[in-house]
Parts: sequence; structure tokens; C-alpha cells
Amino acid sequence: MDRLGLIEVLDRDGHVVQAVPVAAWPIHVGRALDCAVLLHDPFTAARHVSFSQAVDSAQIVLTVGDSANGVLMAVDGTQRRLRAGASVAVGGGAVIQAGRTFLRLRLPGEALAAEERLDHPAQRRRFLLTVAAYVSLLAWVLASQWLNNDPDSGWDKYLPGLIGAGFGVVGWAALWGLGSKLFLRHFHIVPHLRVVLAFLLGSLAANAVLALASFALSMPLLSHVREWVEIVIVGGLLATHVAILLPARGRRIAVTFGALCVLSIAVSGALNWRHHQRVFEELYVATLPPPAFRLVRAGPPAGLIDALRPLRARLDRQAKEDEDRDEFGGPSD
Amino acid sequence: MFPNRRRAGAGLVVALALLGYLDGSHAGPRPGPPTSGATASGGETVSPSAQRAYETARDKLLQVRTLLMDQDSQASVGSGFVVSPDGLVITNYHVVSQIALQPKRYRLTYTRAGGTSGSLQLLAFDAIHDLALVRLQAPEVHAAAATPSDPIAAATLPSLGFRPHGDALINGERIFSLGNPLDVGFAVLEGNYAGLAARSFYPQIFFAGSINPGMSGGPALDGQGRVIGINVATRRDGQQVSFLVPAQFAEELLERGRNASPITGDVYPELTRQLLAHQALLVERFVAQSWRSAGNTHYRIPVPQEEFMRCWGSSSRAESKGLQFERSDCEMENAVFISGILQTGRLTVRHEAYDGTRLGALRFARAYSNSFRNEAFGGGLATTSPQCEERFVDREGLPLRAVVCLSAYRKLKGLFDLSVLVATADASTQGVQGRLDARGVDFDNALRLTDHYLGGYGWTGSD
Repeated sequence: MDRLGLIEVLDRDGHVVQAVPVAAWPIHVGRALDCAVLLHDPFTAARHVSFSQAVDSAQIVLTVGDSANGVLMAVDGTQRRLRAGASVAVGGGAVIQAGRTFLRLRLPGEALAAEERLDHPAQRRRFLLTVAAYVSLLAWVLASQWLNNDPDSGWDKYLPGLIGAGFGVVGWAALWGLGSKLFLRHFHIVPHLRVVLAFLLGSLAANAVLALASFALSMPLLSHVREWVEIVIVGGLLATHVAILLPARGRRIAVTFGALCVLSIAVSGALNWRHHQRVFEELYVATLPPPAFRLVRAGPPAGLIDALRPLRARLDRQAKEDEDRDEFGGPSD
Repeated sequence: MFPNRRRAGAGLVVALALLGYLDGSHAGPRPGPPTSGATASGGETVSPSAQRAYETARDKLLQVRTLLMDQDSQASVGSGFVVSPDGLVITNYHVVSQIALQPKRYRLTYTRAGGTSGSLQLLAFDAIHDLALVRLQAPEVHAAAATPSDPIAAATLPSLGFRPHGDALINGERIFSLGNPLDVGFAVLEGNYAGLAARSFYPQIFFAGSINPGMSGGPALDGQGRVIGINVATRRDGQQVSFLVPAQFAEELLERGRNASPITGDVYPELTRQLLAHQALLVERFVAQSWRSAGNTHYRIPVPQEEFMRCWGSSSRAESKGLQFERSDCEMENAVFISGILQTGRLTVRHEAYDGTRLGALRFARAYSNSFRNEAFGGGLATTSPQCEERFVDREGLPLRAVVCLSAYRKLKGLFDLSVLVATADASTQGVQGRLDARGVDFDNALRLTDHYLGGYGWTGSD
């Protein structure tokens, strides 16, 4: 018998849970026993959809049965809801949401994606890149510890940092790996390791570059803004991890985490303003690299003194705002 | 500055404790060996002259108590003494500061050696010298009155007199400090005059004797029972190192406030006025001084004269393989007491000179940055959050990274706290970081001090 097509029932993660070969058109999908594709989803009708062949062509047509929920599917590139009685031509590979169930129609002759290679060169490259990133991180930690340690420090001084960072990132990636086991049925640790390494190295580099630039150009804002960069990097890291777990929801994840970042920045700015009457928490730039990094000229002291004058009005205003607080309370003497 | 620093002379320098701060002012009875009411510390028996001093002053002594407005619990206790027949009393400002600052929450009462008691009214204060003038209220003044129609004018309370100005004290002269230590009972403590305290911005008598919490505001008498000073402070880290406000300031306050009406309103404008005058004098004297040399071979570093500041030095261990440094801490030991959480009107100057040749440029940069980061800024309840301005400043060819932070006093309008941080930025393995702090100065003086402090930096020999 020729297989005219195949109807796959998918779970929310896109895994096939049931596949029903089509021996003859039409074929019905629903909860009723006479349906060839039998669903157990309470949000579907007895006969939710039917697939049939057009009278005058080989085109397969979907017709929505007597359903209150209808179906959701892409028509001409946009996601649309079809109501009871509606019909639409469908091609191979079309995914239809009926109630909480996803159906995929397979038809002969549809183009298939190329076979994925188990030892894909890009995959190997990515793995090597991951290893390189891991080594870079350990080198960074080592260098940072070297800077902090006195020249006579023994090798044992470097161990805690190395072990902490080395196992820390792997542990973090492993936790997300457990997440991927839950969502994707596979324990993917390397993609998560790659993500955490990329964001960590990015964060360290951004931090260092901004701090140096802030000194070099005498622009405190470049140093202050690191607070925000940090928030964005953490948001990006989490979003990327989640996107690996839920590959179909990339856009929604990006929007959600983008909004969270904006919100976090707003809240941190508001809190700083409330407590310190300034947007950033950092009071002044403390990074003092070797003097060769300085690119701007040093000015006369009078320039600094003049720059202080406008502070007076600001401080007076601040003092007035706070005046009602009873700061001299409490026992004394 | 350098995070691993040890505070220079920490054991010696820290606590010039105002008496009232010591726990005893809040404490109830404490276990201890029984002592008779009138023994000098150290267990010596009282000399006949101490006995005479006590007898002279006994009926002129008061215990000054600050009570909560609605109940009889005492918030603090001090001492005081009657200086005029119509019931004027001298005590310390810090003894009455709560009532001055929060008149709705506290009230002031007194108890005398004889057990009589009544209320007190605040007439005037001199926060700079830590003195206050209060007046005894009815019923006692009325009781002492000859004509009930004009009780105050005719009152004849026994009072203490001041030693005449021309009659200078001589070192070693016997002094008797009186008061009610730790709320235990009225007592006389014997010691002697040791001259004026060195490096005090305002003259203060060094009393080689004991003063205890609760005695603040009590009189110190000479052998003839004349007031020579007012108990004010003791050093917690020493023994028998105590301080008296010279009587002349109390006399001036008495003259000024004799006819004043009781203070019931906001005292902040008056406190501000006194602090503004204090800082004007302080800054004037400070900037008039030249900087001392720090003895650095490379840099000229501003170190203040030790006229009214005391400096302590320290350095890294010689065997240290890491960053080498020398540190200097200079500070005024006296601050102006405003409230339990605010002391102001003082200057501190310190620096650390670093040598990182054993570290190399990169390690030095890390340590140098960490040290520059390790700075605290007031942020007390009395002032706003600091606002800073920073930039590279050129001092005769020596580039400095300078950060200036200012915060304003909320209730002391026109007064600011200033911090100037400086780090030299000319060499990759050596440098100096310094800091000037001025508490309670006006804005113009803050700028003036900034300029003066930055002017203290340069190359050695570039004067």
C-alpha cells in the first residue's frame, strides 16, 4: 500500500509522540473513535480537523470541524486562527495547533533538511573554541591572581581561584545541561559552557576596557556605566541559556529578557537616586593603571575648583529635601 | 588607601571621649568594691583640702538630668554648678544637647546634694567650648526669695565664684573636680594642674586626675574653692588624663546669657552661627601655616604643622616582599560635639607614599588602584550623600588624579563636609595617595582648603 502521507502528533517541545500513516483521503483528526488520528486533548473537538484531497487536483485541503477553539496555523506566512467550517490548502511540513496539540502533516515529495553529521566540522570547531575560551578564562583568573599576589607568593595561592573558576563555570553549565535534559531530552553541556564562557570573558573584557578608557580619557561615566553593562551581560547570559532550552521561542525570550534588563537598570538607578542622589552607585573612579595610559592633559587646580562650584546649588537643594528627617534622634550622652 | 594598613598609634590616639558617652551615663548600679562617697581615685584617702573643697561646693553642685518628656526615665546625666544667686547654672553643652535639639522629647531637671530637685531652663550655649548656661526653676528659687513679688531678682542661692584671671595657675597646683560620677553620688576627685593640653585648637586645661562619666559640666576648683575650669572630657586610653574647659569661657557665656530668655525654639541657626565662626577661624589658621616636608625623596607631599594637629606615622614591614609604604596620619583631637551622632569642625590630613619597585608596574597598578578604592565617605545621617568631581590636575609638572567630594549638612545650613583624595599619576612603580578631610566648613572654605591642599603637592625641590 502506498503511503499517501503521514500525520504526526507532536508534544510542546516538538517531539513526535504519535505518527499515523495516511492510506486514503480524507482522514479525520479528533477525539471521536472514528477518527484515524485519535487525540486525548480535552481542548479538541470530537472531529477537530479533516484532511482531504481536492476534487480537481492533488492539493490537500484542511477543513476545520465543529470546534469551538478552531486551529492555529501559518497561512501565507502569518499565524492565523481558522474557525469551524473554514478550509485552507496545506502543504507538506505544515504545523497545525489544535487545542493544545500540535499536528504536522508530511506529504510525499516534500524537501527534507540535509542529514546532520555527527562529526560536523563546525561542531568540532565550536568545541575547540569552547576549549580555547575555557583556557582563556583560567588564564585570566591566573593573571588576575598574579596581579593581586606578592612576588614571593607560592603556587598554592593560585589554587583556590583556579579551582573555583574552573569548576564554577562547568558546574553552572551542568545545571543548564540538566535543564536541557528536562526540555530537550539530551544532556547538552557544551553549548551552555560555551555560552557562559563567552559572556564571562565578554564581561571581564568590557569591564577592563571601560575602566582603562575612563582613566585614559578622564571620563568617569565610562567607569560608572559598567554597572549597566553588567546587568545587560547577565541578562544576555540568562536569555541565551534559556533560548538553548526552548529553541522555538527565541523571539519571546529576547523580548522578555530585554525588558527585564531595562527594568533592572531602571530599578538600580532609582535606588541609587533614592539613597545617594545619583544615578550610578560608583562615587569616583578608582582605577589607576600605569601613567602611560593617560591620554588627556592634566589641567590646573583652578579648573577643578571651578568645576566644584555648581555642586553647591545641588547640595543645598539636596539638604533642603532631606531637612524634614530627624537625624539627631537617638540617645546620646 | 592601602587596605592592610594598621591604624597609626591606634591605641593612643583614638578616644578623646566626651564624658557623657561613656556607658556609665546610662548604666544602673554596677557591682564593685564599696567606696565611700568622697574618696579620690586610686583609693587614697581624701586630703583635708579636698574635704574643704567639697564642703565649699556641696550646696552649689547639681546633678543635671535629661528625662524623657512623658516619663521619669533619665536619658542622660551630667553635673553643673550654681554661679549666681539668682540661680544661673553652668554645665556642658553636651549634657544638655538632647534638650536643646529635641525640646519636645526631653526635659531638663536637677537634683542637689541635699536631695532637693526641680527643673532647668536652657538660656544660652557655647557649643564650640562645650558649655551651656541654664537657670534653676521654681520651686527652689522662689523658696530662697526674700520678696515673693520679685523672686528671681531677690533670690540668694549660694553660688561658686571664679578664680580671677590675673591669678594664673601653676603646674602641679592642686585641683578638685566635682560632680556626680556615674550617678552614684556627689564626689570630689583630686588631681593637679598640668598646664594647657598640647595641640588643642582652643585652650583646654590638662587635669592630671580622674573624671568619670556623669561629672561632665561639674566644676573644677582650686584650693580656695574658686572655679578654674569645667569638667569636660577624659582619655579612655589613659589614666588620670582629663580635660577642663578654662573658666574664662564660662564667665564669657555667663555674661552673654545672663539676661537671655529661655531657648524654646530651633537651636540650629545658633549652632550654625557658632560653627561658621569656628570654621572661619580654623581654616584661617590652617591655611596660614606652611606645609611640612614629608621627607620623600621624589614628591613634595602636604603634611600639616603639629600646632593643633597630631601626626602619627607607620610603615610596611621591612621584610615585606610586596608593596612598601610609609604612612602619615594627622588629625585634630578635638571636634565640636553637636549631638550623640554628630561631631564636626575638625580637620584630618593623611597620606601614604608607595614604593612598588619590588612589584613591577602591573602589580603596582593593581595595588595602587585597590588602595585608592578603599576609601570611606561620611554618609552620616546629618549630611547629604556626597557629590564628587574628579579630574587630572597638574602641579608644576606632576600629574595628580584628584577627587573632591562634598556633602551638605541638612540642618546646619551652609556647612559642608569636604574630602579631597589625591593620587600621583607620574610613575609606574611609585606614587603617593593623600587625603584631606574637613568637617563642617562653609563652601568657600571648602574650595580654599582644596586649593591649599592640592598646592602642597609637587616634585621635591619645586618649591
